[in-house]
Amino acid sequence: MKRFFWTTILLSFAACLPAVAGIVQGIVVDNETKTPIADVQVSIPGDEKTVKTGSDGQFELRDVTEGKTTITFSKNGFEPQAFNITVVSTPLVINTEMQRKVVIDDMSAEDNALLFDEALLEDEGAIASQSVAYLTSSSDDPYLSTSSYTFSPMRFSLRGYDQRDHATSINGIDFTDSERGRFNYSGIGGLNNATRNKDVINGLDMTGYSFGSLTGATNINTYAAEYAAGAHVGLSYTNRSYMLRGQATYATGIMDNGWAFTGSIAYRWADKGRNEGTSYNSFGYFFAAQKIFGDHSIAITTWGAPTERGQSSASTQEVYDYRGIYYNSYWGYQDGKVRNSRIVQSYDPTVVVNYDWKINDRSNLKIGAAYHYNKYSNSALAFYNAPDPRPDYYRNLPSFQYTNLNVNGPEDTDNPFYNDVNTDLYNALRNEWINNNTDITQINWAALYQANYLNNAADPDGSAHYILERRHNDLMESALNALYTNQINDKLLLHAGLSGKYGKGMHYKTVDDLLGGNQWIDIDQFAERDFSTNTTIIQNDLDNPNRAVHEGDVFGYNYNLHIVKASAFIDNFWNTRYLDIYYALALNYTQFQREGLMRNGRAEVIGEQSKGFGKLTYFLDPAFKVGLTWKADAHNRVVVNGLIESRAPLPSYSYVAPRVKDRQLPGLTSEKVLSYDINWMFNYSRIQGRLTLFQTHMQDGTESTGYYNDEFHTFVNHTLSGVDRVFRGVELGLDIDLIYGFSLQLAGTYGDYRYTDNAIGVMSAENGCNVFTGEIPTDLTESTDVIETVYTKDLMVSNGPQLAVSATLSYFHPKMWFADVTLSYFDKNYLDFSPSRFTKMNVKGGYYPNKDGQMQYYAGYTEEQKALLGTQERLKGGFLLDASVGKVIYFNNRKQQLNINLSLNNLLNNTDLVTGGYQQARLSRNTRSAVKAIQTVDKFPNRYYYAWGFNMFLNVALKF
Amino acid sequence: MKYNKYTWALLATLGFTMAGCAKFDPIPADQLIVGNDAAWTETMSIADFKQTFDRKDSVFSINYIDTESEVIIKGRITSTDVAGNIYKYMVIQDTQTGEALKISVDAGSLSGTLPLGQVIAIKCKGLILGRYADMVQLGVETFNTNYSRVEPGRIPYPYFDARVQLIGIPDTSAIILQEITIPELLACDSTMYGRLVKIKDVHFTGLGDGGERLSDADKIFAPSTFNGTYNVGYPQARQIADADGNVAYISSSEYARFADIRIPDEDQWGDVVALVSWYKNSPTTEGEIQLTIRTLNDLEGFETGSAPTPTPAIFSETFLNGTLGEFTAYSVTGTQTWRADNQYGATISGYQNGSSHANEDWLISPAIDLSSCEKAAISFEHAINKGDVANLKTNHTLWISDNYTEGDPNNADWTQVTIATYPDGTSWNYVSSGQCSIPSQYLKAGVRFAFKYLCSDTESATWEMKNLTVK
Repeated sequence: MKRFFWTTILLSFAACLPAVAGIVQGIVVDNETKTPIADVQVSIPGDEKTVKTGSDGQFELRDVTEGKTTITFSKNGFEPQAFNITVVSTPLVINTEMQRKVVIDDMSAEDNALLFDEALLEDEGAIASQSVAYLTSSSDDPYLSTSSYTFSPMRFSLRGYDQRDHATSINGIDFTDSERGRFNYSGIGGLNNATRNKDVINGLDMTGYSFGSLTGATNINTYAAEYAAGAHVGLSYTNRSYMLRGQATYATGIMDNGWAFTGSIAYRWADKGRNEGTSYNSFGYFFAAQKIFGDHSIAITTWGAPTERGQSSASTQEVYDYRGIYYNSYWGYQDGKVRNSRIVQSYDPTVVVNYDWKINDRSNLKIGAAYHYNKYSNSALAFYNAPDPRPDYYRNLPSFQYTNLNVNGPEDTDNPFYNDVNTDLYNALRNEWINNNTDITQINWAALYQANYLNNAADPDGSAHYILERRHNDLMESALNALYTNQINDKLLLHAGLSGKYGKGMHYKTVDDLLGGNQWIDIDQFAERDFSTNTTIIQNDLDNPNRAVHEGDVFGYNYNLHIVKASAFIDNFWNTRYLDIYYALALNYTQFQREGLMRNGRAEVIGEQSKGFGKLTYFLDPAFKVGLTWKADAHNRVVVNGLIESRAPLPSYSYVAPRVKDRQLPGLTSEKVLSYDINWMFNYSRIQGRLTLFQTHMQDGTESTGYYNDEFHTFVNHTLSGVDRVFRGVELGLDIDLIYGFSLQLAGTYGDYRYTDNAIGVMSAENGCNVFTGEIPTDLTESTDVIETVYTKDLMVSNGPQLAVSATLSYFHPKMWFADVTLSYFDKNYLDFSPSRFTKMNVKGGYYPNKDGQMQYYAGYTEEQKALLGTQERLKGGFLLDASVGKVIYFNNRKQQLNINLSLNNLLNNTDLVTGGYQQARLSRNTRSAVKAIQTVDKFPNRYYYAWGFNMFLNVALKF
Repeated sequence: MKYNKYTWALLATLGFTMAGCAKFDPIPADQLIVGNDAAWTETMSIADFKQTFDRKDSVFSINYIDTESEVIIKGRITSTDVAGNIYKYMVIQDTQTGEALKISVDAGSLSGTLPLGQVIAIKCKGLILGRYADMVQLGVETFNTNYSRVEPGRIPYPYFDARVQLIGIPDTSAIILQEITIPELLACDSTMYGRLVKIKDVHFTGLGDGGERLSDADKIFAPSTFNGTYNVGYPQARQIADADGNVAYISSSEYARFADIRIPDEDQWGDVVALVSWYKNSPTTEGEIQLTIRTLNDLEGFETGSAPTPTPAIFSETFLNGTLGEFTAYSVTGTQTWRADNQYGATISGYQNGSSHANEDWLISPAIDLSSCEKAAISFEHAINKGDVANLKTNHTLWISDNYTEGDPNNADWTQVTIATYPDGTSWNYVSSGQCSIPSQYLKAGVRFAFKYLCSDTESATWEMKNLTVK
């Protein structure tokens, strides 16, 4: 439409210019932002002539044969174009606008990002890491765009950092959540098309709207006026977490009356996801409006994506060997239908208002306000005075027949008790698993209902034995920010910004389904087992003791975290001929406070506060960064960046046991970060890319986990403080033009991300008791915690593979066909370790008080035990082969465009790729041994997540 | 407006159907409660089952149930593990005769899915019937690595679940409770093992295993069996007796929720409901009948025992209020003498003005009357420092006399009382002296005890003590 208008006008204009034969020239701009696009390959295949547009988007082809021919425009990340032209003796001007590539692979990146989410944090201390793949996908940088598409199935994380290290904003307003520092992908789930307009900054570069962050920053731009006018409808089919996806977007673009509107809806659905027992149901809506009046503009955007989906478990290798890598222990059949016990419900309606004022040609002021209320919850089975319902409970598995006799499985033939194992029973159980008797291999829902019905008859006022509880982690935030930009002179650019955010995290659980029972009694069953006559300690809510709860009632725990953040930053950017310098300074204020809404018995008996507003903690953290760009010549730039900052601990990880009491991690302090990198960017006509060396030091971080400690027979919270880590490595991205429409992209990183020192671990029993004696302390001033070293030195950070390389061969045919093949290799991926396996007691041994208060020697690992139980596992590396093919078809004189894209991933069907998981915390000791020797048997083996085998994505999109 | 065709196109492409959020209806109860018509039919009674498959030849034995056709037994559950005294096993009884069978299953809180009073049918083919310490039970073959023997072990829970059918709803009123006297109990044969019985009109005798008198602290159901290294874990016996003096033993586990509850006082009489258990762990030892109660409700008519009244001290002195109280200090040699300090208690040191001075000093108690005691002991906290450790026990001693009245203690007759625990002599840390037993001849009126301190011109220690009691 508009494109054509533009082109025609200039063609006719060009006809009036003085005669110079056989020249075709023009400018190529981005059709959304209208900024020039550099490095676009402009070809006239008939003449075998190719040039690249410069940084100003301009190109010129000389000595072109006169007559009818075709001109093509192509660039990585953009939809290719071709026009029929007639070359005449006068210079022909062809200006065009290119469209950024339709988000096919964004969806795959997003899938993988969604697989691992907050709910996993509840499980056995697993700290799920998320990739920033979704956010960097629309970058021009060959390394960033590859690492988002290709590396995402392996949960790759840029530079090994945690998710908090990538700043994500929407229209300039920071959207990383104040509790955990994460960006909620599912909040914009499915609305990739509406949110595809992103600016991605790499590493420590300047963002232009914020201080930025370690791994760079992504800003999603939803100003309605910046969308290309038109409609876009897409339908996709895939065999991943969901099967069917549809979306429709309509944008008016900026209209004559100064208004612009964009609307989008999306839907994703599967009744059967790739992993067994998973389902997916998500609807998304998006609406943006903007009014531009003179130098002012007001934009309002709102969106939300109510989603319901089933989760998948991490299982031990034994179970995967029986049932395959898509096994999921969270589901079972109910009345012949698949029922998943872990269903996530999330909905994060958001509204953003932006006011922009172009003060003059040099300066502008942007003010933004945002509000969102994220309702996020996931369900899980809970049981009381009944057998554990998990199908993969370790005593139910065939391997227990071996481990119960201290034999490490059928391969442990040298073990003295090897021949005493009841192999008939082992084989009988194993057959049930291999033949998939779902009463055993999956949750037996009928048995759960039956237990509750029988209990209703026997004890009608008593607690049900099995229920489905729903754990809620809601977050409401309101944010305000202001950004002032002033191009003071043609050398100096200034940004100054202020922002504030108030967040209220709400954490509680509700009864989701009583599974046939009459009610559930709200007490802590482990405290009841240990202190059956103490009616105080077993209560979760002392103001409503022994309360009978029903579906929808809040029970168990209920607390809020109130967080206030404020920050100010200022940066200067000097632009000279050979050198660019920028420096930025920021000051961040963070305060948080827990508000308990229930008086918990386990806090009460040791005199800790649980109900009411707790201690207010605040941190004031400065940050400073500086960057230097040396523009060596037209083709080469060298950029050096440095950052030093302290950052407040994340509120979610600052409390020992926030569900029970208001006590913060001992030694809670801001983490200190020092980071620097050196980048060489080169841009030649046939080859362009970047080589980066980086190193980041982090000191005084904190981590927290919780698990059942077998030695002390109680649930413990184990926190680490003084966590020091280093991240260093090299990144390389290359984009090479070969001949005949072929190009090669190479991307790779080799890193060393590890813990550089031991940490201080504090272990405390959640029921408040002295960990050694199991008694409630009588002297409340004495600490009942066990404080000792956790030997984390030289353990590796488990944020994805530290070695990832890929090579992509792409082909573009002027008839609008494009295809590519990618081979990638991943290695140096380490499983998340459990701090319990690295405590001084387990590593070195030592004297600890026993139940009588006498000092008892606890042995540490023997060599054999250390290798089996006390090391961090390095996961196997592997290859992934992907391919994709696509075609663009134009209709109606290019008024409509149909994109078809088929993406085939893991063509080699490599089902041996472990993407993550965790080491279980439990460790068994021989109680009869005089030194409480650790048992040399792996009763609690590591749990894994596997990458999918072959999977595909077919996307059909129509633009009109 | 020209946008119309686009909005239509938009609507037209919206052919998506929204699947509603799947909400699961509960499985109807009647689908899960098995009626008599759908119940498995038993192929033999529990009594016949035990008769057929029990190998009676050893105290730990197993016998495979690998008959051609399926063997199905039926019974009503008479045990519950809610109180933790019963762990990973259950007992069923024949619904007509009350004959019982113990079944070991590897799951905690079995009563959650297999409740008290529930009738169940079990397909036994593939399991074993064996004897553990001579008591018959249904289980699987396992190997005990601590004793290197094959014995009946716990059936893995899913393995058992596939073989069991719950029939109807639990009915505790239908449980057959057999009234029995203690003599009948002690004379019973193996058909009684596992049965639920009621013994009327008994009381707790305050004796434990083998008839030993229980100390006051041990008058709870099951004190810890911690032996300094680990919890040995054997159940602990508490004797009950009927009006005729016949005795039987109730055995409880230290992991029971009532383990720390005091047993009823000897003057409480009531009825005891319990499961009969038999334990004979070697062919040469005599087996014993043990009664296992399920919860404290099985003790009918009893009240739990009263807490022991703490015996008051006969005499006590803290030395911490600035005076020596009723004690007198007598200095035999040297000018230094016993004195009181608010913080450190009664103290003495021969060291003054930079050097030691030879001393003999006595700290003598007032006359006390120990005639009402069966036994008595002195205990206090003390610290000794700065002296020669070799002289620790000779220079700091405790003595008792029945004929001292006043003046120089050396004129009276004193017997030494051993101080049970001395501090190491090299620090200011106080340790408890332990119970320093008073010899029985001094358990009368008019006795005094005294602390004697010695030092020389070359070495002297400081002796401090506080919180003294005589009980």
